[in-house]
Amino acid sequence: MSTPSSSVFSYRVLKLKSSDGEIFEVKQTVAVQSGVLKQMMEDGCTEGEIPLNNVDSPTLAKIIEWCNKHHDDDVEGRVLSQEKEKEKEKADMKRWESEFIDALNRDELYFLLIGSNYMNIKELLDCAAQKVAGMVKGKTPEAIREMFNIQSDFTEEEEKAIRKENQWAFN
Amino acid sequence: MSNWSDLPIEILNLIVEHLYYIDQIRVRAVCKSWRSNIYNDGKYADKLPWIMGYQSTASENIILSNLIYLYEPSQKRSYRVETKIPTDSTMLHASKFGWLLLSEDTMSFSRPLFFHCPFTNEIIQLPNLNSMKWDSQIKATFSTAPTSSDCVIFVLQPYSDRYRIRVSTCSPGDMAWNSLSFTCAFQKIKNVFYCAFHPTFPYMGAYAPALQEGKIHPYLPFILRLFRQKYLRNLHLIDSPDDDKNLLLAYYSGYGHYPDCVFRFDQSQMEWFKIKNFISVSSYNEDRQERGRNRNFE
Repeated sequence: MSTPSSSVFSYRVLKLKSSDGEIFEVKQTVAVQSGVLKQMMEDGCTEGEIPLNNVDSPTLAKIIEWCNKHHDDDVEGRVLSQEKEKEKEKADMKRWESEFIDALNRDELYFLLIGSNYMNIKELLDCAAQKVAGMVKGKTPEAIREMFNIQSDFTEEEEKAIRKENQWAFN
Repeated sequence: MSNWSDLPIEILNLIVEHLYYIDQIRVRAVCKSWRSNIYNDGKYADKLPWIMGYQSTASENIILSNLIYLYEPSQKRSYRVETKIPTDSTMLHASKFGWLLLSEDTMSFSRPLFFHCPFTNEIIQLPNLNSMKWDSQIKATFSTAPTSSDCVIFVLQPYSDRYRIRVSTCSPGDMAWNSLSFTCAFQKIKNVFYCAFHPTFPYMGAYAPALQEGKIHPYLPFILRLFRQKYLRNLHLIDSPDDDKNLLLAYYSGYGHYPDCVFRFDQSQMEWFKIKNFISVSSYNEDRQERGRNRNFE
């Protein structure tokens, strides 16, 4: 077997297996956005099914949707000549990204964070993290707990002491 | 089911990096695991330093009230903090890393400087400083939090000829100050201390302790013109502790807590540039209506 040149490389397909046993086929050129899969490709250990134990099928479907959108079909050939065209493409992508993220419910967003972190897809992880930050911004600890269904595990005294430290920030 | 309180540490901190300082304080109060898992590494979404306002006398920076105001320029919101600053003849020099550098105005040649934390009311004493004359303009600042071992406190006093400066330095725990005098020169130096003088001395002073070199920079003609026309009451330098690109200069004319205008000093061009809309008009107007004379600093 010869070492894969980049042109051969781009047509091969990986078989990803979600935690609930579903198989997803993904082009290598798309999968390369995942740091983990990229490393496996470089190490030549992508034969057969690749088990992703931390990612269930609905999350993996979302992740692949993201990666397909962010993948350039013709990496080598395509050159955007016009500066304007590039800008427009960037803006369109930003809009797509925020629509993609905004459409997720709390649970989907949570598992997308876990999954993109596990598969090391930096752009997706960043985008999801920014979304959560935007949800938290300007909210009181009580409102944040309610939003994410978190029970406070502080005692009454601890809660008081925490607030006293930075009383001004809670008024 | 999702379990947000169990979010892996690296993801939690990635989210927190996108939050402003004020939101980080609140996020830390959500649950035990978030409180212990959020790094305290000074990564905030805040792009500009906060401004702190306080009541002071008009001619000197003597603090008059235990109430201080925090203003967050990124989101244009303000907060009140009740503290225990000694309000009897205490002069404020600098504020950084959650600490205030204060001195007692003793009307003598000996001036006790000390640190005060307005949030915890802790105090760190420093040796007495001999001032050249009791009413001379003393500019003082410090390099890192006074609780850290490499903190240097730095004091500038101009001589009456206005072209020489005396520099005094010490660290918390030292028994005395180190003082030396030098003539100002224009030089480009990294790791520099800057100080803004009242425009009677129309320069910003700068000093690099590692090289023991100093320099001065002229203010914008705009600022000097305001001063001649008596619109300008005071100038304050604001620097971001972790970013030496963000050296800001604020000028005050009226009696509001917050500056009228803020300029950024570009070190590569050695020029001042105005930052537009640093203070929102609405919060400025609210503060104008409050009584008393107020001064500001970072």
